[in-house]
Amino acid sequence: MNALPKATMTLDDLKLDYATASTEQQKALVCRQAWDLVLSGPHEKVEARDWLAKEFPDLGPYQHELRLIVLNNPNASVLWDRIDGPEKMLVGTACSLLRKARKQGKSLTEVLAEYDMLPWKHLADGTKFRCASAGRHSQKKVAPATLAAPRTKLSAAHAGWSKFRAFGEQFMNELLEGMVLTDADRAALQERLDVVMSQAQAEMKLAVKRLREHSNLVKGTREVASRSKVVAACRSLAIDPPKPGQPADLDQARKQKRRLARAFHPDTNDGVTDLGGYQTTLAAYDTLEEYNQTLNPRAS
Amino acid sequence: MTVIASELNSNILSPRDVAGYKSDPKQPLFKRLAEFLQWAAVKHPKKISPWNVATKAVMGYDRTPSMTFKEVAHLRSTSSRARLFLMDKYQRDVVCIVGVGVRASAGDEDTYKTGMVKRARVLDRAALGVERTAAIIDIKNLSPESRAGMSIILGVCKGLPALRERLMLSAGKASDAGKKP
Repeated sequence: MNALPKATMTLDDLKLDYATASTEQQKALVCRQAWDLVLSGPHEKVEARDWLAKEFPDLGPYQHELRLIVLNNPNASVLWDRIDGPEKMLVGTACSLLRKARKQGKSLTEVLAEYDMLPWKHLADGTKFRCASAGRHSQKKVAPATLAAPRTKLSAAHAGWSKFRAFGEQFMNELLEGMVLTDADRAALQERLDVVMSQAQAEMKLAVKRLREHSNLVKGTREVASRSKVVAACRSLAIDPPKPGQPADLDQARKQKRRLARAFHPDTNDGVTDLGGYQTTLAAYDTLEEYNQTLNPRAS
Repeated sequence: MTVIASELNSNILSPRDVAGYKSDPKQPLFKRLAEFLQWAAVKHPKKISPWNVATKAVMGYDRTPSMTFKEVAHLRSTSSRARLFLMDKYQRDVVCIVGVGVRASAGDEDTYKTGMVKRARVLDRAALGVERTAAIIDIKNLSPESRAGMSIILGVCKGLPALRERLMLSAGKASDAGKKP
């Protein structure tokens, strides 16, 4: 065992001893002296930990307590040999071994023998320890890089585009039959063909979309007026909005339209130019009429 | 016609417009209605408040009640008392639009056009009615007591044509503008 440091009772001496200590055991002894110094002073026990952390910045969290636990154990000389020896056992590991021996009622030698059977774990910062389970220190298992399975079936749109492009290429090759072209010219032509065909495809999609909308209009399945529009129209006419999916009361709406149109008509307001109220009333009634027509096209 | 929802509700108060109003539940109902109409006249002048929206604001409901809700009819019945209170305290008149809603007049010009002209016309019609009724009564056939009262009325009736003429002159143009078609 290394020589223990002499007992010094001033803070500067303790700091100097701590800086010059070469082993963990020596540092633990200095820490214990510092702890005694703190408790003898005006500091409370809770403040003492903060004071130590402030005066010894390289002291890690709970490192002081762990050292004292090992230091106060009478059978811990074996552990100090391992901590300061070539194995460089962590103080935390030594503490956990002591705790394990106490809990399981075994001797420290038996616990150390079990510990020696465990495999080594290496951390990224160079420290190593023995660990039974993988736990949080084990390296994450990296799944072997697997390639996505090849798509056996193309989507309908993609397949359609491929057919369309193949047809364009065939058409272009027929046009170019008998001509001698360089690779650059052929690549430029291919690029131009792609642009033209993508434009044609977009126009075709738009035409189909319009055709579908027109078809829906003919079938009477056009988009229903939104609920917010209907409610706003009813509020404008000062009537109760219909329940969702139910038609609006058009008779009541017609009465209210006449009343409000009379109230807001420019002729009854000395020819005011603001037609907002009047036009809003008419528009609200039209909205409700359109909504009812959408719900039941035959009724109209 | 395509209508954007936000473009609607230009002259009608929506429930969202009155969301910031807090009524005093300790006050009687007609006072609460008058205070609400005063607030609406300042905040949203000339906007008509439907009765269900007014009920929501006055009663402090979270949701807008239906037009057929009994509290809506109850609030409507307090409008005449609210009118008196509003006239005394805030010098405003209550403008009711039948079947639609209510609002407080916004300014003297608005009060004249909406309230004064209408009441002048009512007075004119009442004076005409008094004249017509007086014309069919023969004072000789009345009892002495009734004859005394009738003579007083006939004295008043002598001034009625001039009163009617002045009323028509003062409110004629405006009443024509506000007349129902």
